[in-house]
Amino acid sequence: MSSDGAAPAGSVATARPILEVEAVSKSFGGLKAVSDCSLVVQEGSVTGLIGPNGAGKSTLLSMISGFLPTDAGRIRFRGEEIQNLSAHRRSRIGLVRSFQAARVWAGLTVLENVLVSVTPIADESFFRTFVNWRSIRGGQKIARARAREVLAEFGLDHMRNELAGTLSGGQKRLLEFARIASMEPALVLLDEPQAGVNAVLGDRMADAVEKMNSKGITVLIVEHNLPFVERLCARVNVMQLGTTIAAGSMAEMRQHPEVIDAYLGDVDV
Amino acid sequence: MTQYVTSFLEVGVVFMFFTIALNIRWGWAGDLDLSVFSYIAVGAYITAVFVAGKPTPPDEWIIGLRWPFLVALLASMIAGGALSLLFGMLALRRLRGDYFAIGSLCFTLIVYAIVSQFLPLFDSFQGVTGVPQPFEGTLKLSQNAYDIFYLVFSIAVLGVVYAFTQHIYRSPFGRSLRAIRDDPEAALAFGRNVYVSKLKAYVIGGMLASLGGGLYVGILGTWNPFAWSSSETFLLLCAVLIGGIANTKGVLLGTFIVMVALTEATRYIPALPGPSGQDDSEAIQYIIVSLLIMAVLRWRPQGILPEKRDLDGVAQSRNLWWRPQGTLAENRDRDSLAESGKQ
Repeated sequence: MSSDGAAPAGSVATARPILEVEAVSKSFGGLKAVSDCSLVVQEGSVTGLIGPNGAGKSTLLSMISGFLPTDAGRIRFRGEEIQNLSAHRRSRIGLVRSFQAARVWAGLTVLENVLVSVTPIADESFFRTFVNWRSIRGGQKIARARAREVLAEFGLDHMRNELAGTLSGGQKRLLEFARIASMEPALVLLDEPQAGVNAVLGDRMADAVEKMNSKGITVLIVEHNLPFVERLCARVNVMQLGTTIAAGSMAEMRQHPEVIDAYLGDVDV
Repeated sequence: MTQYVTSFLEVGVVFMFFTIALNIRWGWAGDLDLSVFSYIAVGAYITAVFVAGKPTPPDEWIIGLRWPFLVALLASMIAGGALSLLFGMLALRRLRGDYFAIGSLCFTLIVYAIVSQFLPLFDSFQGVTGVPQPFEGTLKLSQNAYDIFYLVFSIAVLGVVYAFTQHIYRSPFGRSLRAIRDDPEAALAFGRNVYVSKLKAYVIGGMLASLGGGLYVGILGTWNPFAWSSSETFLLLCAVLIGGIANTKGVLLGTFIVMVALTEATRYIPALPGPSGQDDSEAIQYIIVSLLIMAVLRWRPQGILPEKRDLDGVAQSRNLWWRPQGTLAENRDRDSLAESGKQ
């Protein structure tokens, strides 16, 4: 439950799974980073994925998003198997991720960063650049207006002409959120969005996640900041040593002996 | 005097094709390409064998046609594009950064070895000779007039290439390419096919480099392996860095400085005293260019004309190019200054 007693965002999840991870494994040489790990994310939910450092959370996220191939197992997105789909194709079907360290396109302005997200892929065709340039130019006017709307929502419009590389760490994180939100994907994977972020910005990010979710976007959050997880996530999965050891609400996890032993310990949540 | 001026301007213009090609691959797509001179050479050779006619034994080379120069230029672009596609498909799927640069260098060595050793191809070290002056059958001009004509023709083609490349740069495709340059993984996460985009940029660069090579052989009248060397590639890289990587205008300026101004200026430096009595101007050129590169990297790493930002709501004329891309506060001050000036 969040601090004001309201139900966490994502409590209007449907019974339909949008993401099903089935017995996936990944090894790096002799090190088994993810071992026979399974996970289900319900459509419309905000789901948490927590665990100690080295549990394999980010590796799992990278496999789900296509940045690492799986050694074994299946990943289904909206019922379709995607483990053999490339990362960019997964993004195009609505599965988008953020990174542990905020990744912005440093040589582009803040506005251009969002323009890349809102511009349809078809408008980036080399052939159409010359043959259909009038229609592309019209599309870009609409995209620019949309990008400015998104930036205004995240309080970044006044910085739209700054180079993204000159932003502070927190601002880069917000910009990354803005890019993701502007794509209106079906599922967003957030990898430690609170890392290195102050409390005020952290609240803004939590608001942003709630807003995304209210538009029907499903969110899977990997995070160490448990109050952030508890505020947002109706359901939490716990990983340890490469596999999930428990799943349920944060309140249930606090009582779960394996979870306490592996992760929560005497952490005051 | 006219011939002297037009000849070095012609070479300068032709080298601008090479640096534009390199800029697309390096400045826009982020791939440091050390093989650009292979594509220049391919363009020169293909143009030469399409216009020079059948070789007289013992010379030998492939094709050996006497086709119009413009058709030969088109053929050279197709050949450059095809070779770029071949190497790009192999290298761009897996190689990035330094590894790609090394891979491209290896590719150049392979191409050089094949061309210089396989006699029937382009007559090995003898090269293709007897390339007629382009359009000589059509235009009956004096040598001076022809030189001016060819310079104007080259500038006109450069103008078309410039407009073509600027259109790409300003397009969503160009922006996507620059995003890929800055962070390919983030671009993948946002649905961009990094491999295909880089391949497109690589092929476009190859075609433009070959076009420049074709124009170059029109000036030289011959082409052989001695015409291309690693030091020429070094000068092209310097031109791009000094002028301003990713900014086409900067790259053109850099080419003029390195390939024209410095080359000509060093001719007037007296020979260094010494027993050999050799012409030291080329060595001095490399020393000066190297020192210039070090100075640029130290004090102006973005180049003389840095990449311009796409400023929304601010007149582009206010884009204060001469100021370095500074901190957030400095940039905000600059934009405020621009905005208040607009009022």
